[in-house]
Amino acid sequence: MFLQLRRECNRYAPDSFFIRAMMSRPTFTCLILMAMVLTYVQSHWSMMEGMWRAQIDLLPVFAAFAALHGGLGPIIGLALIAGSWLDVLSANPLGTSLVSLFLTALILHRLHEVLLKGQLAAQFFVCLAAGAFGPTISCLFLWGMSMQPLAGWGTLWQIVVNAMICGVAGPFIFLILNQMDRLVSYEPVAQPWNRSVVEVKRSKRY
Amino acid sequence: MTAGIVLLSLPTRVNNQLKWMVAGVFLPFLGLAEAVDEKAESLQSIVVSKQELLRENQQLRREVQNYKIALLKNQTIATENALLRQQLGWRESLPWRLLPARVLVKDPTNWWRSLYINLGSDDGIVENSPVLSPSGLVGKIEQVESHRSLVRLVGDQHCKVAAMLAISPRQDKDESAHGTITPGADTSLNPRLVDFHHLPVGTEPEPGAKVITSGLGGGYPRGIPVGHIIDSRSSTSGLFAEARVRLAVDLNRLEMVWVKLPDQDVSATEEGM
Repeated sequence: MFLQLRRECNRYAPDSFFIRAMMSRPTFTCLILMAMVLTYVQSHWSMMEGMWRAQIDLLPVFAAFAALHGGLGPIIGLALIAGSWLDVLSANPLGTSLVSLFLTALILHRLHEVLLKGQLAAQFFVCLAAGAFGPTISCLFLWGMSMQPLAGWGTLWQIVVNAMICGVAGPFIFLILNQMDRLVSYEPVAQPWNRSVVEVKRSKRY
Repeated sequence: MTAGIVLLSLPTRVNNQLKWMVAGVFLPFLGLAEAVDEKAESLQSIVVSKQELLRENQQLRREVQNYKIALLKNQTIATENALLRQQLGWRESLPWRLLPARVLVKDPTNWWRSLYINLGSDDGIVENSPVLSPSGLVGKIEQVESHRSLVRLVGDQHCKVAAMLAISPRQDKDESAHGTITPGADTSLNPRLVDFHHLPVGTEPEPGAKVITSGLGGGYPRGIPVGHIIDSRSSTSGLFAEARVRLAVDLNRLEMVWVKLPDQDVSATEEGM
């Protein structure tokens, strides 16, 4: 795992994580803030729990966005900040959400070249998978560490509901974050090797 | 990833201390969120009509009068109780010291039943203090930070309660079945349903029978309502009887709770005097 991380770091080494990873710092800040606000809202209002008998965790959607639109930097940043925030608001031991978010995002990042991140259907299925995978990993970790999480057949229902809601909410969150990205980021400057924007002036001799 | 695994493999106490430190980093966000909540509540109060407030005021006045009458009756019983205790040579029961607390956040995960309240060690809160609501038992304090505390709710794996069937006035014997309240198979979907384990063989509690804390083990004082029986069965081993209990408190709708502070040591106070 260490070697893999080092290889990833070396791949991004020439520039900062954020430049090469196609996610600007303001977009990353927006992503983190939105994830934190939504996590707080979901812990404060239990409307969804009353309706669906399941607490909704939308953080895997943000992990999916970071994985598809960014590199290792945003993934680690999101896992560290949003994961710790979720653990601080819950009875989770510190580090539980960090591991699950990082794993979810890392797997999606490995596949990001073959995923059609602009397509609604692809966004739906990616967020659906992330919404199911994230809580399952957290629960399995806690179980493995003998921390006695409350798990039963009901947990299966809660994971399915969480996955469905993440799937539905995913495209909306992607849309909002993409709009924010357009608002807060500079237009990419044409690179000198991009010949399509170079105006060639010819003299009379030619 | 490695950091996460290292953090998870740390001893619980060390992990809790680290969590406390990380919570300190997030303190401005927590304060901001609380301020926004309070502002939203005050905005809500502007919208409420005067007529509605007057109606509510009248209703509350009526309730206060009812409680005053009930208090008079209880005071007479308490005096009688103290006198009888004195005659029997029993120690006088101390009045509960309760502290009101506001619920800050509910656990955003599905595998814990817990919440955070706005009182901490600065307010005199200590670990394992019982947490109550007017309807009954809510849970116990598990972690205490300076300005907030983690409450494990009844129905969580880490909050087991020694309970007993309340003695009904029709009951001949002064005995009741004791057991333990633990999360059941349905608790993950319905947090109000818990299991009542380790009841003596042959106990068949009637549906609707009240369950109260037994006071055994010293965690919770005796007599706090926990819930009522839904149905009962024999355990798979056949050594005990089991029952399903519906909790008296709707844990999803809690906004305000009461923390019972530890009784002050009477002997220490006397020595000090």
